[in-house]
Amino acid sequence: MSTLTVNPVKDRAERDTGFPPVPELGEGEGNPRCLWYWDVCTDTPTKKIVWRGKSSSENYAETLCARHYAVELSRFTEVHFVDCEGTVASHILDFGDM
Amino acid sequence: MTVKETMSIEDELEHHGRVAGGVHPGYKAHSRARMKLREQLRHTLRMYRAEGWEMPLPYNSELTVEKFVLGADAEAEAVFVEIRGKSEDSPERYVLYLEEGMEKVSCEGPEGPVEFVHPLNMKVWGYAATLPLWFDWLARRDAQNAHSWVCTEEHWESEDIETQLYRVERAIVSFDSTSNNTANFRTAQEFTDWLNEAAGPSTAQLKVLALTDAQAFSAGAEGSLYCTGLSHQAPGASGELPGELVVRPLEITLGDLTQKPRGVRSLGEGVGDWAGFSLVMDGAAVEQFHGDDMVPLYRVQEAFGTGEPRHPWWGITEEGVDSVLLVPARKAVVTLRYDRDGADVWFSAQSEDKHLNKAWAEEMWARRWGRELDHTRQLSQQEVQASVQKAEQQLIELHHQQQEERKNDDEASTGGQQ
Repeated sequence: MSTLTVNPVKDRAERDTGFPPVPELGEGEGNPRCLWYWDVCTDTPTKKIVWRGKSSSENYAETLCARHYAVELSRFTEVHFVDCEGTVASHILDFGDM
Repeated sequence: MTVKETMSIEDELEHHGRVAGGVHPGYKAHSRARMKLREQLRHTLRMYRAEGWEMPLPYNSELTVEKFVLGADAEAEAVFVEIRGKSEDSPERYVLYLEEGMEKVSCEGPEGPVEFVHPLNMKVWGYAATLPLWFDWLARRDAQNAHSWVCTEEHWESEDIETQLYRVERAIVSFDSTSNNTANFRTAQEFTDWLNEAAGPSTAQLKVLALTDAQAFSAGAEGSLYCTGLSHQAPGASGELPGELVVRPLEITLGDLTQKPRGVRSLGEGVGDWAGFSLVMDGAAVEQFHGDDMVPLYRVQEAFGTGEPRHPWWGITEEGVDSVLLVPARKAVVTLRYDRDGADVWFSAQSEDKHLNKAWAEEMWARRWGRELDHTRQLSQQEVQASVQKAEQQLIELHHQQQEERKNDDEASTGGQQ
């Protein structure tokens, strides 16, 4: 059975992602710029993807502008699992608005 | 012959079919044959486009099946197509020659015959490919050419001191990744030249050696070749921890060395389908080096020559680093990637099949998300919002699907015990 996550602070009750609750993390090392690296993006990040590290101290929040957040998430969903036996939950702890 | 001199079947009938109140019998037969060919051509392309692979066109391509036109004097089975060129006012014209129906087609462009390179495994095929593969090739080129109208291939706007300083201040660096198929290289020198070109501004001096003496390689370490690598074992499986540096024998046999390699996997069980090394350069010197599944070069130096390999393996090394990585001379895709203006370099080799699966997924993803990836294109807030929703929805669906699968697996495994 999946774990249900409701985060009233961020009003994400409508989106049941089934991800376990995660501690608050620093937002992308405080970088004020979208962390997309394929080309230079000077937009301010508004979204985050929290990647699971090998230990909880290695969890990492990737902070992106909305456009590159969509691109990064879609690439993970459509490409990553071709040669990975893990799951969404074994890689991502949280995602959405910063 | 240009495309403007060609006509559609409808035009031909309109112009010639009614001449003097009748139709020449020979012309009629010719027309029927042409009509049939055209239908066959379009059927093949539509099958491929719509029903066959259900694949999206390359992003921003304007090529359609309808743009393929038979030549007006096409006794020879020639098909013409015009795509967008590097500048807006100079389209590129191609002729496809159907040598053996739709299966063996050659292509001639503005610069002569075009050599077909498979876009996913980078293998050079020569001058013949199937019609659908040429369609895809032309669709890509059409999109790439149109992209060059608005975006140059140059890394930077300028290389003057001021802009260089601007980049340094903001930690903006050049990076690139280039792949090739090992089967495309005939000599070690050809492979070496490609690697160093792919390494761009890097000071790394990669060198390729050709395996010429399998016995010497095998004997070099008395049949037990050691390599260092990071453990891939699950915790507890062998006392190793994942990520721990381990030394283990390279499990390659003399048979693997002398005969057809079973891809990168031939190197050993721990290697899987990927092998590679990384370098950090400090000026011309190697500051850091990490290689998985490599062999000390001094022990096997005599096994290598500089020309063509006598056995189907290449050895890859870096000037000043006494380690060599074996790479199959066939059915392997090698990738050279650099970052930080060439200070960081990664070399990797992957079995062709594995690479193909990933490259296919990547290509389809890039086609589906081309609009979002195109930094020259402004998207409205609504468009971005729609993309965000779509991406999140896909992820959530996949997550639920994986949970469902896990639940089913758990039930199946506990079911047997009850």
